[in-house]
Amino acid sequence: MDNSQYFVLEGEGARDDVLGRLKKVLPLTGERKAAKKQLFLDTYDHRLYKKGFLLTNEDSRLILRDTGDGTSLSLDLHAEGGMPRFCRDLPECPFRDNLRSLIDVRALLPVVGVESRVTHLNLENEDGKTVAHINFEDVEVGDDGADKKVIHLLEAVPVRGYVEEFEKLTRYISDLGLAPAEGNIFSIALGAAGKKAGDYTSKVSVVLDTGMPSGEALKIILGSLLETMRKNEDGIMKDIDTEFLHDFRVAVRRTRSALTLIKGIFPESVKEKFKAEFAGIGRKSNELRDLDIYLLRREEYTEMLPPALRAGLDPLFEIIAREREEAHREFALELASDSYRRSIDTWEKFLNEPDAPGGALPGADAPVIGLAKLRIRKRYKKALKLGKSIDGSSSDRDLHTLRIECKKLRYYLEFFESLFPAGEIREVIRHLKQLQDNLGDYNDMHMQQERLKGYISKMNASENEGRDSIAAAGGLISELYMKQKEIRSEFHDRFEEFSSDEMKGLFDNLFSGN
Amino acid sequence: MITLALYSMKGGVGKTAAAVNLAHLASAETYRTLICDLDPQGASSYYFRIKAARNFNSSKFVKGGRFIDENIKGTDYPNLDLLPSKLSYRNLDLALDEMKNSKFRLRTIFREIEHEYDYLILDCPPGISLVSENVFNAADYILVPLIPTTLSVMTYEKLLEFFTKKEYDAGKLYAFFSMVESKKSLHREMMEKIESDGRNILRTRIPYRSDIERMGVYREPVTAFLPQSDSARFYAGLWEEIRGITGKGGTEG
Repeated sequence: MDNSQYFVLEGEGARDDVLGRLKKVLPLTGERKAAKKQLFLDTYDHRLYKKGFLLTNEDSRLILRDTGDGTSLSLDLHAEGGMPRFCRDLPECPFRDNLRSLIDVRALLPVVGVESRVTHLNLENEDGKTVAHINFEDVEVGDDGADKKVIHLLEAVPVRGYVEEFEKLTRYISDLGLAPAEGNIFSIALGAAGKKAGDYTSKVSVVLDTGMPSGEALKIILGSLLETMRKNEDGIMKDIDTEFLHDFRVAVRRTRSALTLIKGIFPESVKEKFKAEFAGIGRKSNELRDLDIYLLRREEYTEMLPPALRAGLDPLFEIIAREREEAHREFALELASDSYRRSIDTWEKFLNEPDAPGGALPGADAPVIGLAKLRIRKRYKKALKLGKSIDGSSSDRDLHTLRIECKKLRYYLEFFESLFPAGEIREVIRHLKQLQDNLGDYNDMHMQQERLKGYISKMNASENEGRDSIAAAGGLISELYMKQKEIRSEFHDRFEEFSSDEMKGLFDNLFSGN
Repeated sequence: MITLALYSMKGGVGKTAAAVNLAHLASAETYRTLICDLDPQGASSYYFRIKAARNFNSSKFVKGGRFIDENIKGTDYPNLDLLPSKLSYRNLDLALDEMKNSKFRLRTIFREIEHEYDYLILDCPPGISLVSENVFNAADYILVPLIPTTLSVMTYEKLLEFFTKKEYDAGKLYAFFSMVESKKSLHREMMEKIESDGRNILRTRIPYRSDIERMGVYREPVTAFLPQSDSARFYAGLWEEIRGITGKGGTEG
């Protein structure tokens, strides 16, 4: 309820007219003018905006505003040595903690700059108490130059506890014939600059129709995944943050998974060719992702170890950081290579030309709903069968196989989510996710231990530094092993929920028939 | 959230003036701050020109939850909200008495808003009552304004005795001199004597000033309407000491 409401004014002249008419009916006081220059910052996927927060750089301060309740936190950048890129660049303070809970490991990027001239007025009640504010804003959006745009806005700002007064105010403004604008200053300014706030998502966000031909639906899904890959290439090459690579890799894995659906719809040769190519791209990025995860875990690892062993982590992380630099250089070269570009271009060509020679097979015309139900049913059955065979004697390999199977089921559910009732399919995904988290964490603990063992063999035990690092790695391995055992002990509960009669019923309801 | 109570057994010692100005100073440093007016006279509500809703009363207040959420009002200052009191707060003791765990009721209801604010400042009614005992349990720090007179100091001794007898944590108590007239030798002597006793006495002495009294006319904190004044500077000094004690750093929120 504490959100501001914006209205768009037609041209600069409209302000005096609107202000004059509002003043006739409302006690508006305390008129004052101000000018401000703001640079809006957000992550690539606009996490702050999506969670209802705005981060601006004004003068030498960073201001984090909660648009939900109007509160804000600020930080003096002079004192902190300039603009931070990550939360970890900031000293420990409430500002950092709040920001971290919103953006996690993503980098802050400049999104849009605005310069506003603001005329501010208060709406007072009979006690002289301010019960709402209004701001007339002439906003210049964008950098200097030709693409600079000016928009004129009226912002009505509520004060907590004065709901009726705010409603009265916005009613008066609407009665003057002004249209309420969607969103806040960030999305409005971005709109004026020809962009859309929060339009990137790493999720599969396709909307399909049950009667849509399977071939068309698959190309929509695959096309959206290709778009996600493309959008993340630049961020990977410029090494902005680790999540570009993460999103890119998920899109690659999803593409490989979607390719397994094309049997009978597109020629087998298409599947074989591109599955191999995307597998190659994924494989070439494995090392970089593994090392990214290590570096992100530095703090967590430090916490895990007793203080006496912590110093041994430094040389270990130096090695990891060096390896990571090298892995990044290699993968960036890969993305820039002719062979990668050729793969992606041929892939795009295939997706854009449905009737190319050797194109669709008869299955391409069947309604997608049948395909979706059949393939999800099969995956679920397979996952259940694998899961049931897991017992105390099962190997890491068995759990790994189940993990991969669950991942494929998850992808199928996400590809076709829009074909099914939202509440029910979200419920299925939620239970599956709990099982996946368990399997994922288990695998993760295993991989980390293996890698640490690898580092131990590289360390020189005859030097002090080497001995410290071996001790630290040893300490971590035993901690990770304990955690892994604990995760394993929770597996059966997670799997029981996933294979319960209730879940089976849900699957039957959603995915039987065709 | 850190809870500060402005409390004194004796009335008219400058509690509300301190509560209002300290709250304003905290919010100006971008700490999200709530003043809770517990006094049926509603002086701090008056200073901020805030009236409680007609249907709000002491029994609703002690229920907490949405009754508090719906009745918190934004002041004219960023980051500063206020929960106004009602005349019916004269029955606050009775309303509290009807609740389970009646001495801890305020602590329970304030827990529900602890993530919304950095500082909660309680403007307490004078006297020793169930309300006061709730305050002693709910507050992290109890700030006691002390006029340097015999009577005032005697009342403070009584408070300390009460804390010992009832096993409240006297370490929460911090006294500061209020309405000080340094021209009066009695004031000077009393302050010296008390400070040499070595209890938790804050260094800043809030003087008796007419601009503090004028807050009732302007209906604004003195730190807002006369930020460069002597009085405002004394409150700023007091705030700095308190912020230090509560473990919050410089000017960042």
